[in-house]
Amino acid sequence: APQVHSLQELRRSASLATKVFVQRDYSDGTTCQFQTKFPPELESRIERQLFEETVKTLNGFYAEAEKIGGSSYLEGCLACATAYFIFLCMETHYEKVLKKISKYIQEQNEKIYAPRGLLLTDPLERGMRVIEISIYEDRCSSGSSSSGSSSSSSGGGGGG
Amino acid sequence: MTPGGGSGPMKDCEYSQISTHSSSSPMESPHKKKKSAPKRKWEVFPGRNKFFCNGRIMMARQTGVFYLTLVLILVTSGLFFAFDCPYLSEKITPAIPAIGGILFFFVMGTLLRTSFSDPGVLPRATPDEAADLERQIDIANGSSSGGYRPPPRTKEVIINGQTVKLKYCFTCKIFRPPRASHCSLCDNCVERFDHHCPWVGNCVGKRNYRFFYMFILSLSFLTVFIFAFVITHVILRSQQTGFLNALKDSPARYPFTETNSRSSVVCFFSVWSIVGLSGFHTYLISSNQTTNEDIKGSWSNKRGKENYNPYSYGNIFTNCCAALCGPLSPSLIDRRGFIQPDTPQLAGPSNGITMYGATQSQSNMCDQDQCIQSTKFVLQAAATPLLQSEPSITSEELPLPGKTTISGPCASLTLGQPTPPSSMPNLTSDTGLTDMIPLKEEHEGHQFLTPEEAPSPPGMLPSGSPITHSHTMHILSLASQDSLHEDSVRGLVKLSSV
Repeated sequence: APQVHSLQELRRSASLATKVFVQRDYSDGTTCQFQTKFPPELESRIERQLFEETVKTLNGFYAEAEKIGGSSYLEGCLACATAYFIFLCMETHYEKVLKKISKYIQEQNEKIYAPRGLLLTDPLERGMRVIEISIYEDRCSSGSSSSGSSSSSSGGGGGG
Repeated sequence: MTPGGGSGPMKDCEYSQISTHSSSSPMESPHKKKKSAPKRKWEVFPGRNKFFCNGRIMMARQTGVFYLTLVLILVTSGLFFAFDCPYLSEKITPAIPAIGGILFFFVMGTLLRTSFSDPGVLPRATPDEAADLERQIDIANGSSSGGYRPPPRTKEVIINGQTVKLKYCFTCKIFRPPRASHCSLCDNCVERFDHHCPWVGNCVGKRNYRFFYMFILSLSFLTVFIFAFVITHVILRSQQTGFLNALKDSPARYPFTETNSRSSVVCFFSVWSIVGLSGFHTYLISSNQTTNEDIKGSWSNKRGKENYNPYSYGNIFTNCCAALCGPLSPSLIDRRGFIQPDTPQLAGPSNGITMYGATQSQSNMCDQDQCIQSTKFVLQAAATPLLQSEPSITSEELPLPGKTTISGPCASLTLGQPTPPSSMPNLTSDTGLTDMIPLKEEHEGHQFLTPEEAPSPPGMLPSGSPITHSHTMHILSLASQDSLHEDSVRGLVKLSSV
């Protein structure tokens, strides 16, 4: 049965069961793209389409950050002309997009993933290697399973 | 008096006592692990780098040659500005020292940027990631890893029609992205690794390649500039006073010839080497290759007619623009960030160099190690029943070489560490959270199992042996849940506070 959690409820009642890692997709070169393949561990937790949409949106953001075109050339030439001292006071285009990405991930976590007992970690915190998805188990379900084991072990517990 | 019935409620009382004790001071155990001053990530960085200005500046370990570079540039330019420029600005135009000054400023700026910035170091895998990768590799290989290191792991990827092999880095525990390479001097994997340059005291990689190129380009212009105008100066002087007289008169009143000759000598040799290097890198940029690839001949036609560079954009102009004016990716290692108590620490250091001086990071490693081990137990139990658990767990010991100061809960779950049974209650008290009944059952379960698990290997704790029992996997998942509980709660608190 799907457990409905807000982020606060997750904090109080859930425990980490496992983590799933969505790896990078290098088929387009060294640009930052993630595989849209649906991990089997998430089969029962989230709809395939939602997950794929998240990953595709993230891929779109990264493509935008790394796009080489008019504005990036302008930024590069300006930076070069100032012997790159301009980086001391200006935020690069890439950094701006990364901020957008982190907002998007937080929003996705609040709206979609936390209610399903999942949590996305920003790839930036993992060296842009993986999207780490933490899967949480509901403590209510773990409580019921523990009472099952307690009955089996208490029978022989006296001998311990 | 029934043992089962009598001991049950008694045991309940015992555990509830423990629970009230621990719940009254829930922050006690994390408090033990926290150091008084929060550490920044650069202080526990596992690579061989030197950091200055509280993490703002990052260089390789050997910086002697970098200081030599600085001295050469400063002295040569200094001599030029002091002795040649006054004469030349009078005689020809004051634009000469002005242009010289701009070039010098540009050279110094790009040199410092190249030397001090992060070349594109890839942070090492977190223990969870490393465990996940190991598991995937084991499944792919279809065999248990045994006690020896398995054969080198590679993944193949097709990029723009060209097959590229991704190698697994044993130090960083990651599959290296294409064009990344592990620098043995800095002990880091660097993205788009070009080479390690001792002259700038740093690796040259994705993030600082354009600074490096601008440095050698501007330095070529500067050395040619200085060389040309020193020669001009000597010629002009000699026209005035006669060439030989100019040289003769020098030491006493006109030290310019000595300094000039020194400048000239330095410049002469520099010109050829620096200009040559600039030319070489111009070629590399226009064909979008790295020095590493060029030296190995990765994309040369000699390897095969079908071999071509999949990263090239096709034309020289786009390649140059992409390399020099493309977007600058941010540093992935977050040197100045603070270590969060629940943040997973990086994979263990190589070559026996221990960077984990802080007990905080040790205990962080422990928490995450518990995480991995428990997760791995569950996964392994599901995937391969009755597998020898010891060898596969040995691989998990790598992150914790020879640590003796691990706190109680760690020791109870970390294998290979001799642990007295009295450490088990530590586990229950240190988690410091509610939900006592499963803890009690876990404790009993472990006690129940210990005498049963006679053939368990030495140093193996009860938490290791239950792998071989299907029903104990149940208890194991409890153990993992409870031991991870504290960790996950802290993690959630941190994550939700983002």
